[in-house]
This record gives sequence, structure tokens and C-alpha cells, in this order.
Amino acid sequence: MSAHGHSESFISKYIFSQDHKTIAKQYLITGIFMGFVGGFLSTFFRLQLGWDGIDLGFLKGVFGNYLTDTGDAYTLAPDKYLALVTMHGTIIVFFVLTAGLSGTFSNLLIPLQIGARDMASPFLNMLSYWFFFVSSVIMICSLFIETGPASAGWTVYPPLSALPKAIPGSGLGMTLWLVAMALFIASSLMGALNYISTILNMRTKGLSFKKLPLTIWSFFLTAILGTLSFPVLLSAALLLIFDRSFGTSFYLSDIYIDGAALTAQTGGSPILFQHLFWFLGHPEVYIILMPALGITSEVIATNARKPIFGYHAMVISLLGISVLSFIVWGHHMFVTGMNPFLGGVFMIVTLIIAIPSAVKTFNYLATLWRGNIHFTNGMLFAIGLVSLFISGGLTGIFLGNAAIDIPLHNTYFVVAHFHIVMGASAIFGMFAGVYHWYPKMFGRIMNKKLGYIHFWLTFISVYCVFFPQHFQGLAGVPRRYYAFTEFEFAEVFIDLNKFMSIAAIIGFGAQFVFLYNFVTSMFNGKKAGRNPWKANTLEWSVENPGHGNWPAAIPEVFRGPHEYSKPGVALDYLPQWISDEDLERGVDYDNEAHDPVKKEITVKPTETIKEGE
Amino acid sequence: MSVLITHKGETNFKIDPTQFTIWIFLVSVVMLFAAFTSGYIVRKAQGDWVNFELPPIFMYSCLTVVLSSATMVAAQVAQKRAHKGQMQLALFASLLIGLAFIYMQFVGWNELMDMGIYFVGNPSGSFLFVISGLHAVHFASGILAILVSLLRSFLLDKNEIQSQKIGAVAIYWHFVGALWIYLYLFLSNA
Repeated sequence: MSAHGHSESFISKYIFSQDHKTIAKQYLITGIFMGFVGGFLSTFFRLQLGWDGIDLGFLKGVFGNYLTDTGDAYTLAPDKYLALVTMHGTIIVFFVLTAGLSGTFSNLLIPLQIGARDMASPFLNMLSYWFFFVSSVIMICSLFIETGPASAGWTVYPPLSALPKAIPGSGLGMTLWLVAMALFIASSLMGALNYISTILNMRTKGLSFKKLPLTIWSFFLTAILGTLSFPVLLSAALLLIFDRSFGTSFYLSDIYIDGAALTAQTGGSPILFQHLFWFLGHPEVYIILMPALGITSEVIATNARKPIFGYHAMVISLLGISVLSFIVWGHHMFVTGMNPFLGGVFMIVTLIIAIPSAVKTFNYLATLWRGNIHFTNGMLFAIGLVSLFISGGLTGIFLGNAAIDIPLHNTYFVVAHFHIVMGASAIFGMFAGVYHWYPKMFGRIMNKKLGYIHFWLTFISVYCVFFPQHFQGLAGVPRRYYAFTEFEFAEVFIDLNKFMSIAAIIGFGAQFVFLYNFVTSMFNGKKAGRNPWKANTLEWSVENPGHGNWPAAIPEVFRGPHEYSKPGVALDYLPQWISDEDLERGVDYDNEAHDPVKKEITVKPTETIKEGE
Repeated sequence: MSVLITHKGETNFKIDPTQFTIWIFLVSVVMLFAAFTSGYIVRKAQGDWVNFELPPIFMYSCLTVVLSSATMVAAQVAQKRAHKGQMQLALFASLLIGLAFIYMQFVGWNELMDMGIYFVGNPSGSFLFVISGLHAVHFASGILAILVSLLRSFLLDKNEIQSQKIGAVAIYWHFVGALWIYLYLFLSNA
């Protein structure tokens, strides 16, 4: 039963739900599942990287076709190593950090923080989740087909992706990858349309763009990036499908092996694919990162009990990052033989991104400076994000520079850079969000001690896995290699590889602490009040929101989102829904009973906008 | 089953929500075709490119989209005046002209194949078929939307006709028309 008295069946409430909060939970749970799959795949190949030829017989039951029987051991098949890295990348980049992160928090927070009863189109929102779900199922299924999943890397460069007979994963696995991604793109677009429409049109009275929480700013700009860039990936994928299945020559050229022509195509350009792919691919980095940055802004301001330092600068830097993200894709392609002048342009615009990024990190640190810091689990992960964003961002300055990127291209230096700055940072932002908004999702608080264990194990293991990779990369160790035991120059890293693999196993193990905490806290967690963190934004004005969010009228907004520790105000927070008159009257908003937000239905909804009307 | 959530007066939609969403959707369609046309330019610059003249029928199909947009405008005017019959007639005319457009595209593709330009072959031909084919798919979805609007209008009486939302369909229809004119100019000159 929702606040508005319409009854719902089990299916319409939990399965094909049109309530944005349920959809957010669906995204989150699917995202966590996909996160475990992606994390498992990386642990799987880290075993091989740490101990070349290790017996993986214990995985034979489920992953039998990934192993080869050498007589005395079941080792990872070399071609399946490529499958594992490809699927790890695809799953984490798209299914966890795009849909899992943005899908969860955009859905949960956009209507709640802007004061809307739901998304502009709840139906489209539901459709968006189910497209994502089907896409996830197809991607997971592709792991278990006989020839193995797609193996051309998460960037699926042709010809490995375009020529079905190139490697085992280029066949059915690649086809399933493309089908899953087409559904994924449709899902992302439906989500983005909704987010933009909702934020632009459904903000409550008083909520101008200048008072918008930074989470909403980041979701809004992320949705715009998605709307502009995902269609380009779709175009790239369509041309790839035509090359694969119909014999066109967009990307495929004449390939000869042993003097025999392998393809009927002539004159295709694999570089064209790279242009189209990275036109999405680079904004995609920010599609992943910006929601995490937005979440961090809110979590840090709330738990430092201070207004975010430089709100306007934060918004302008998000805008700057969004605009720049569309004109830097060439920095992924410095080694494609591009015109050096063009390379120079891409280099300069890439390095300019350091400015808004530095503004953001400076502002995070300035917000923490002399704050009354509450080390909640969410806060720890938010601070962890800042740490990773700085460490990973610094190496971005190296790689943005064409002269340094060319020797470092395709080495472990790149792997270290993007795992820290984009992968781990965004994951930390996601964890910060889960711990912080768990009370709004499930009405309870996650166990703090387990949260600490989860944080420290994850934080330390992330650095232990990825920091040494910089040194490997500088020594010229290439990525995507099955083993390094055959190369003399890489022998010095054999022990380091073991160390990184052990750290990776510990890091993956730590996620089970999170999973246990996540599941058990739903039932045994400490009950959260309406506003456990004493935060200012609108979602904390309502307890356990039903469908429609506020049982009575939607609260009006009177102030910005970060009025913490305001001079002259008794409490160290001042919610957005408290007016100056309320303040003068001395309303005790710390006490739920006296809060001006109405809990009872006082006005009967007369007219409603119905679906499809 | 409808979900009653948003109360009128609680949002500040200045235009109809469906129309607003359509506008954003069109942005993503623009990006899709921008990707194809810029891919066309990049690929062409790399050489090994067969140049050919477009069959004139593609130019005539530009005229049909202009005409069908005009009949769509007529449908909206008739709706505003609550002239149900006129509106249905104008929608029907748009539908027929739309079908004629698709037919003309097929004729154009056949002429191309008679000239030896195929979908599989030199990328110049492949690009042409992909771009015009994908446009035709978008155009066909517009025809479908008009058909649905037309059938729906029969269920409404004269007084209800003004509340029927054909605005979103009209926006889409004008857009796919204008898109073809752009694509024609691009393909015949680029």
C-alpha cells in the first residue's frame, strides 16, 4: 500500500516496480552481483599471473572450459586468460560502475533530493532496469559457452572483434557481447532521458539550480554525457555487426596469413572503430566517475559538518570536466600514427582536465580542513576516493603527455593509472553511497565495525595491487600477457606479481565482509531514524518513504544543501526544508515530532498525471 | 494499470513531459547520425573510396518529406480547431506520403544496385546503405506512431480530440523529415 492508497501486487511492487526506490535497489543488487562476478574473474586471472601454471582444478566444475589439462594439473588456457580480462573489464566498467553506480544512486536520489514523487516517466524507468537485467543475463551467459566469451579486450578493437574466426572468443562470445551491449545502451539511454527530464522539470518549489545538491548536479551531467556519447558507441557496434555478419568493410581490411587471404573485405579501417569507440569511451570514464564525485561531495560535507568548500567551483569544475571529456578521446590513440599536430591538441586539452580535477580535490581537502569529522563508514570511503583520485590523477598527467604515453602505451602503467583513478575511485564512491544511503533504502544502519574492516582491507589491498604496477609499467611490462616467466626483463617482477595476487585475493575476500554486512543489516542492523546523519538534503525529511515519497505535501526548499555549522544556528545542521521563519519561531527540527515537514495526509490528491495519458 | 504519483501543480513542466522526453531522445538520434556521418568523413579521407552520383529519386524523396510535414502541421491546426475529420484526413495524408517516401527509398536502393553499388563492397556504398537504411528505420517508426495516433483518434469524440497528444508525434515526424534532408545534402556533397 503506498501513501496514496493504490494497492500493488507482489509483481508490481517488487519485480516490475515503477517506484524509483525499488528500481534503485534492483540496480544496486544486480550491480553488487555483477561486481562479485567481475571481481571473481580478476582474482581468477591474478592466480595465473601470480603463479604461472598454477593448478586450478578446483574450478573445474563451473569453469572447466577455461582450463587445460596438462596431465598433472588443470591450468588456465592462454586464450581464456584474454576472455577473463575482457569480461572483467566489460562487467566492471559497464555493469557495475555505469549501471550499478549511476543507476542505483540516480534512481534513489534524484526524486528524493529534488522533491519529486517519482521520475518523469516511471514506466520508462522500469523498462530501463529490465533492459539492463536482460543485458546482464546475456553477458553472464556468454561466460559459459563452449568457445568462451568475447576476448578482444573490453575495448573490442577490430580485427579481433570483427573477424569471427580470429580467436575462439571472436565467435559466438563476441556476438553475445554485442547483443548485450546493444541492450545496455538502450537501457542507459532510457535512464538518462528520464534523469534529465526529471531534474529539469520536477524540482520542488524553491529548489533552483544554485541550491541543487552536488549529487544531483553530477547525475544530471552524467546523464547528458550518456545521451550524447552512448549513441556513438551504438553506431560503432552497428558497423561492427555489419562487418562481422554481412561482410562489409568498415573496419576490416584484407588480412593475409601464410599468403592466404583470410577476409573478403578490403580497405576497412580499424582506426575508425577506435575513433568511434573512444568518443564514447572517454566520456564513459566520467560517466563512471562523476556520480562517485557527487556522492563524495555530499558525504564529505555532511560528515565534516561543514559546507562544501567552493560549491560554485565544484559545479563549474563538473561542467568543465563534462565539456572537456568530449574533446580528449584522441589521447587513447596517440600510437595510431595520428598527425602530431592533432596529437598535440589532444594532449593540451587532456592536460587541461587537471585543472577542474585539481579544483575538486583541493575543495574536498579544504572541506575536511578543521571540520568536525565524523568517521562513518561512508565518510571513510569518501576520503578513500579522494586519496585514490589524487594518486591516480597524478599519473594521468604522465599519460596525457604524448611523449610519455607512447613508450608507456599498453603497459602496466596504464593498468595502474585507470584502475586507481577510475576503477577503485568509483567503487569507493559507490561504497560511500551505499553506506551513507543504506538507512534510506532499508531503514537500518550497516554494521560500523564490519564497515571499518571492509574499508581498511579494501583500501590497503587496492594500493598493494595497483601501486606496484606503475613500476612494472615503467620497466616496459606489457598488459594483457598470459605470463611473464618467459621474459628475462620481467623476471624481477615474479615475486611482485605474487604479492599483487595475494593482495588481490585479500581485497576480493574483503568484499564478502561487505556482502555479509549488506545482507544481515537489512534484518539486524541498528534501526535508523529519519535522519541518522543529521544531513540537510530533502531525502532525510521523510522516514521510510512509500511510493510517492512524501505522504503529505512535498516540502519546499529554502536554502542550499550544505548549511552545516552555520553561525547563529543552535544545531550544526540546517536542512533545506527549514525556512527562516521556522528558524525564528525556534522550530526544533532535531526532534521529528516538531519538524515542520508534515507526516500525515493533509491534502487529498485531486488530480494526477497518469501513465500514457 | 496506471501509477498515480505526480500531482498536477507539483511539477513545473513548461511543455508536455512526453514532448520534453522526445526532444532529449532526438538529441541522442542526432548523435547517432553525427557519428555515422563523421565516420563517413574519416573513412573517406583514408582513400580507397568509390565516388558515385546519387540517383535523383533521393532528391524527390526530400520533397515528399516536406509535403508530409506540411500535412502534419495541417493535422495539428485541425486538432486545435477541434475538426476531428480534418485532423484524421491530414494524419492519413501524412501516413500515405510517409509510405511513399519509404517506397521511393527502396526504388533508390534498387537503382544503386543496378549501378553496381552494393551494401557489401566499397565502404562508400556500405555507408550509404547503412545511413539511409537506418534513417528509413527511424522514419518507419514515425509512420507507426502516426498510425497509432490515427487509430486512437477514432476512439475519441469531437470534444476529447483536442487533448490527444499528437504534438510529440509531430515533433518526431518533422525531425525525421529534416534529418533526411540533411543526410541527402551530406551524402550528395560530402
